[in-house]
Amino acid sequence: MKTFIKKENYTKIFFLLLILIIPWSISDVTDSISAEKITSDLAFYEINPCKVSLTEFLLKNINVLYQDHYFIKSSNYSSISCFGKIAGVTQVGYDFYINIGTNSIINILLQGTFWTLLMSFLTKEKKRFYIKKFDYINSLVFTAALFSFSFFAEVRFYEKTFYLLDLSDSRSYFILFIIIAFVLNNLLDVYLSRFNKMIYLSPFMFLFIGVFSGLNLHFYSLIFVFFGFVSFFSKNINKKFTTSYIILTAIWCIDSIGPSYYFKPDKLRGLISSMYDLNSTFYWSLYFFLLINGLIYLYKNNFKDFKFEKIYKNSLLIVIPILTLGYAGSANPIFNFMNFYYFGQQKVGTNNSNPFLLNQWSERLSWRGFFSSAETIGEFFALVLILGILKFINDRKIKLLESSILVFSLFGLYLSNNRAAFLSAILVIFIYFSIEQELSRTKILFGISSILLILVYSIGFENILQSVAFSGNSILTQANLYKIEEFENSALILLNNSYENKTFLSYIFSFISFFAFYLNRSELWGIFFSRYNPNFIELLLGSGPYNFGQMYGEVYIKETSSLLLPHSSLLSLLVFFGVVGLFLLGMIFIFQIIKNKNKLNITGKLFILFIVLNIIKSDSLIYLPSFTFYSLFLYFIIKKRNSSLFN
Amino acid sequence: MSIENVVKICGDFPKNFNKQDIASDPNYVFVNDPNFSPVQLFDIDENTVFVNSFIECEHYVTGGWVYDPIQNLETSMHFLIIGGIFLSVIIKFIYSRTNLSIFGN
Repeated sequence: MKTFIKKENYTKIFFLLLILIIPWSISDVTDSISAEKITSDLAFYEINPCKVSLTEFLLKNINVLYQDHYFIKSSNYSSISCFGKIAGVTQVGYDFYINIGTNSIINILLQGTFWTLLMSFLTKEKKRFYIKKFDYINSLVFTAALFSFSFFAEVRFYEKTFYLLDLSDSRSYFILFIIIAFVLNNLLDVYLSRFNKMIYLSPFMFLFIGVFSGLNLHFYSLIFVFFGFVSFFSKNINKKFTTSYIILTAIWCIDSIGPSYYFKPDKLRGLISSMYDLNSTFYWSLYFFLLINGLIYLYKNNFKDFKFEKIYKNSLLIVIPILTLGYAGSANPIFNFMNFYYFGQQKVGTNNSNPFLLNQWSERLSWRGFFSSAETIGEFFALVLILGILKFINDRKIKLLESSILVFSLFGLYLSNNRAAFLSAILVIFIYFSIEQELSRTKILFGISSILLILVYSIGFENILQSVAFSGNSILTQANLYKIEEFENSALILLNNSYENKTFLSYIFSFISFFAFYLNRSELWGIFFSRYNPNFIELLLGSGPYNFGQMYGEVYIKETSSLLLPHSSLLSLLVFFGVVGLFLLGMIFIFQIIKNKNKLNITGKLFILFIVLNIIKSDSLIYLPSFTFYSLFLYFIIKKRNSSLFN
Repeated sequence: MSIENVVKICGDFPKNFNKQDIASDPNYVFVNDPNFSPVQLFDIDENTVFVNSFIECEHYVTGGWVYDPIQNLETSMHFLIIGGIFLSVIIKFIYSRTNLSIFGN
């Protein structure tokens, strides 16, 4: 008889359950201490830290599971023996913050094993992917060494997360090296036996985000960097790119010598440098190089049989879990904590359990739910929607379940309040539909008018009526508003001067400002230019990949409501790679499209359009799930004949 | 015991610190220093003492009262983890040689 659970999976399920239950249930049963009910008198938990397990605590305080004034947080700076126990309870007003002891070393092992076990549920392929033994060992050792070095390079971040692990002692790095090598080796065992299936799991990166609790490190980075090393050792890399990149890295490293700046990773944890100094710049430059090479290696080795159909199917699988877990986490503290831990969220899910909340001007607020960025998850929902509707237009049929999930996707997009993703999705779908159906001119005109109407509605009619002079100055006005007089920054000086003297740059910038105004980016990009303070070299070549520390630490500006990122991947790339880097990247991208134009069909072109439109006004490239997802789309669309990609 | 240990546990040496031969004076009485935050010290058997002045702290630390049971426990845990990892690698190796698998096919 065919059963849902295969026999060999029983052991895995048993281990999974162990990982899910045991860590939070261990406590000393021989002591006389048992959990007490939470009241305003928290003396018991102050006197007895790390004595009561989370399970014991919840059994005694069942109300914590459903009342919204309890918040369960992980405290990574706890001893190993404190893992899974109540490290402390604090009361702030009516809210109670319950700290659960977790330990960064245990987190690497526990989370790493959990995610590896989940991957192992995929059935093995007949033939294991072959890597030469020498390359395998070298890559494994170098990957573990690189990440061990990252703990040294970002010591200011890690000294607050590794409990009693002396980061000035080389033995500590040896321990970390062994642990990372162990987790990676287990992961490779599973990965290499399922190599050609793994690429289709990339949408799952939006659900299992995979950031180790307490670390500035993604679980997936282990595998990408490993393959980066494999491609390097097997001489499977572009020599010109490598040589140029080595020179660039040297320049970034030399430029970073001087005052160091700290950047709190917050929602970017896992893919952002927490320090701006020599070691950190070197590490992140090397990481980026290996990440790119690793991804290219994976794409090249999956090139032959790759199709978007499976990506679409797997994307459908995670739409509902993302929404439901996001809501469950916002309404229930234990879900919120478990989501954070077992899905490896970069930032704890929102605790706003009303996804339809409005601000004081009755405007809808974006609801990020499960993911750390509402904008990025909105783009994902939009992409799923496009894939589904394009498929429907082609096939003229759709299953009930599939259509229901697409409705959920639309709902997710609505909650994320990402109007740009919504509009660009409509645009893409309309273009595709009009070409496929060979619509008459009248119908096309009607469609364009409808899209324009939606555009005007989403921008706001009162904003449309603003003068061009106003919108053309919007970024500069905002930048000057946020500026603090004592802190001069080179970008703003240059812009103010060019506007005063009406130079060519001011016209270009006015043009950008005009669009920024209608994209609702004036304030965010204004804040960017009130901070951006490059010297000549940095303006040309940037500060190195994932380095925001200098920009956010060097120039102080007036207080902002939260950590406000540039909200444009182009601006992030400008900080990382400078004007020359940005120009070259753009040229390489355009050159690749022209070179492969015969392989592109309308579907491919529309996906490129959607991705480019969205990354201009979002930070998606600094989130690993969306970076991987977009790079996968762009690589295969540009490199592979589109007719074989989209059925 | 090294000076670094004294500095690490007791803090910086006072400016006019004069090391006295306390061990040879059985009648020596340590005077409390109100400006010194008391420090709890442990010996190898986890006996504990609170010291109330830098002189007293330096005397105990140089005498070997440098054990920190919390640090020791954590370090032991680290070694236990590393030991566990090596053990699992060995077991895995044996399994692979004998063609057995924990997770089946």
